[in-house]
Amino acid sequence: MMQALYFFFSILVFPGLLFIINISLLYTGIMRKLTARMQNRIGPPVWQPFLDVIKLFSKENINTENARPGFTFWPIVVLASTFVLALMIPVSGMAPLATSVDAIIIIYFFAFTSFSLFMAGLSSTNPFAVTGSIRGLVQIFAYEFPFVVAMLVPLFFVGTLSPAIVNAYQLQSGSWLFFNFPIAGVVFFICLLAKAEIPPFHVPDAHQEIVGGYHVEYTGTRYAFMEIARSVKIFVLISLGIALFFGGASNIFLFIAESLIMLFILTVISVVAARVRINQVLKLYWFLGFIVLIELIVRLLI
Amino acid sequence: MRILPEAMRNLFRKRFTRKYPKEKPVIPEGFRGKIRHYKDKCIYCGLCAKFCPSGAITVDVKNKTWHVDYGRCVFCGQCEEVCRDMVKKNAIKLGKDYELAGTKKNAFMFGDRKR
Amino acid sequence: MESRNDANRETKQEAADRKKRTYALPIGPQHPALLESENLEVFLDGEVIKDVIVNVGYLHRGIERALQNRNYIQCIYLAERVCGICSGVHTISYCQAVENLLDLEIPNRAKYIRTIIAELERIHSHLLWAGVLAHELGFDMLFQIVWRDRELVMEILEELTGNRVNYSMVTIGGVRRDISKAAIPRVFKVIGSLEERIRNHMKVFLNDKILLSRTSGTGTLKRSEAEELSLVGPLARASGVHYDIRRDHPYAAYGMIGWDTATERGGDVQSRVIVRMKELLQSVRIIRNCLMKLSTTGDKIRLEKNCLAVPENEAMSRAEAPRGELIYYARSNGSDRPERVKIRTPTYSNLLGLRPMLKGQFLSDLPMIVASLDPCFSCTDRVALIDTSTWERKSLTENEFRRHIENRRREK
Repeated sequence: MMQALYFFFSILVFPGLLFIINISLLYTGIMRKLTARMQNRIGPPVWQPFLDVIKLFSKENINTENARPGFTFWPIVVLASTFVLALMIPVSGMAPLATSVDAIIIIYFFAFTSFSLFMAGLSSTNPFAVTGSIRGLVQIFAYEFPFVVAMLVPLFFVGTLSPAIVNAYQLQSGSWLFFNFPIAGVVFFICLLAKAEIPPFHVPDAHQEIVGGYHVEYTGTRYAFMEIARSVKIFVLISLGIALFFGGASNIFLFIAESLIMLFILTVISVVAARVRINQVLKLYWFLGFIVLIELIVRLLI
Repeated sequence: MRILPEAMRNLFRKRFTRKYPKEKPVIPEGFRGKIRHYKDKCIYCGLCAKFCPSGAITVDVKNKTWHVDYGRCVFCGQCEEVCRDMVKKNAIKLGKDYELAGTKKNAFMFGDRKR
Repeated sequence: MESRNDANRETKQEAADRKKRTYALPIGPQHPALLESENLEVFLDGEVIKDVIVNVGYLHRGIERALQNRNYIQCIYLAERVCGICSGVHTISYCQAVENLLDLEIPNRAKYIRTIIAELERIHSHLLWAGVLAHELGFDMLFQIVWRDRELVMEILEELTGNRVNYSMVTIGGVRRDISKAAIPRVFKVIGSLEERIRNHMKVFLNDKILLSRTSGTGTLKRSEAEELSLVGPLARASGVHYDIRRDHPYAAYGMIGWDTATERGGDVQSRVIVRMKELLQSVRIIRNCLMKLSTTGDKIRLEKNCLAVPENEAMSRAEAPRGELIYYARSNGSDRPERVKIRTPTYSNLLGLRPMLKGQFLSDLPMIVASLDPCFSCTDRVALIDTSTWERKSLTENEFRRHIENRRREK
């Protein structure tokens, strides 16, 4: 009985959905505030994403005439799959839905989350949304391979398929796997940038060119779901990076400290870089995939 | 990457933007703001109305009334120049007040017109 | 009037091909890439642009007609509001046209002050353009700090002229306000710190790897195309056309001080960035030279001339706006109102360059290329009719236009 109660508590509250939603929205707010400070201006308050999401929930859902049935269906799928993903990634060692063969499910859900986001864009049949979604799908095509291979490197090294065990291994041995596999670590970091649509790889959301891209027709509750999913995705990627490469974390405070440092580095990169064109993105990521594959093979053979 | 030092420096610098309306800007002298009309100096010749580019000023020469419509005024200062240089009366001056927003249409008429 | 430019006329075969293979994406009238409302119909094949049709007309305000209803003094302020960023140059050019009608030669001090205002405006306009280009490239950091430095220019202009835009400093016969002895050291100080910041921005624009990878080699305009389409301003100078009104037909004080023009030969977006950055530094040099000369010229800033009865005459004046050559033509008929004022703004010519620049480029580069042309659409609009069966364009006179509208109304 206590077991079941604890299970539900850890899914819904800590480190479950309530905790993850709040902290990821807070992280998005911190990112915006830091960006504004670096640009020598005041910027929105740190709790601005909360206000944005609350405001979006109070707006009406506008149904465009030409939209496909997926217009309503895909945002829910995006949110649901992001939540499942968030419950599987270890946050300071605890992951409510962790199993021993996590990696396969995680890889699948990562791909599915990004894919369903752009399917949502396609189902709104606006030429700008279609252009943005096609660019996003091309970007997935570019970074998915290096991302998966970079994830596999520490997993194969520790000999398991569960990031929670890799986390425990890093804590036990006291060393960061990033220093054992620097190439894989750097490639993972760069793929993180593309997955989270952070500059210089914010190609699908190029609002100067295509008026918003995949989310241009969305408003109201559906858009709130997509915004929450975006914030949670960034948090999930940071947690995965910490668990696999950057030393793991034994308790929640160390975890928050480490993730804030990673967030700071992400913000600095997002501020100093201009946008890269989609064909340049493809070239870069296939090159990265090639070199990380080399590293994987080398490590496997040694 | 060349912009990185500037980005890092800005984190510790005072911000450039201002929290208006708590912090107001310093307005220099000679700013073309709200018009002040001095009734004791005005001779109601009507030249300011003739030279106003947008027709904001209306002068009734016979009944000696003068009013300006801020909905039309572009704050060019031609009325001040005409009054100062052509008739040498200095009855119009442009001041430094710029907070001229209003909620009703009749709030934009200044002068002798009956509201 | 038919267009004689072969680079821009599309044959029927090309039109039919285009309709078969491509899909059309409307950029505008409302679009974040455009500062003002215009419409670019872009025909895409995947991500590559195959063709573009520019539809202007969304900002037509009837200014040339309104100028005929006001006397010469009132027209100064109307001419000023043709454009927000080039407002100083519009006033200078209009006043020069009227001074040519009256055969007036303005005092030297007025010429120096006019030059200072025009060059401060050029700095303001080029900084705005640099920020917009960085924003179109997704580089928001550069956009914010370039516009922060633009605030310095706006503040000094506010101190000198009384307003941040629409300076109303220039009038027929000279300038309205003087730059006092106390103000000159302040202007020198602002110019000095501006120059240092401009050099810092130049280093970023010319050396940042991602910027370079996106701007080099894109949106290329060959020199022959630029000459054939009569492009003007920094756009043409970046393609190697050595044409600058300030040097070739000097007005105000440009003939009396030393300065250089900036020309490049590449013709791509990077060349246009280099040209405008160099022009920024030259503007700083011109302002410094004018300020130094101000302390030694006479005191008169204005010739009092009666504009209420201008004799019958026609005159033209040209100026170099931040975007190119600006032409004002004025005709008087003895009354206190101009009979006809014709304004030829630089963006009106430069829009023709959009088609050769955009063909074959990626859609993601479209905002950057349109921004590198530095369009000021509020200066641009005229009315033209397009016959879609023969693709012929012609413009109407006012009477023809009125008759056309009346016929349409009667048909309904």
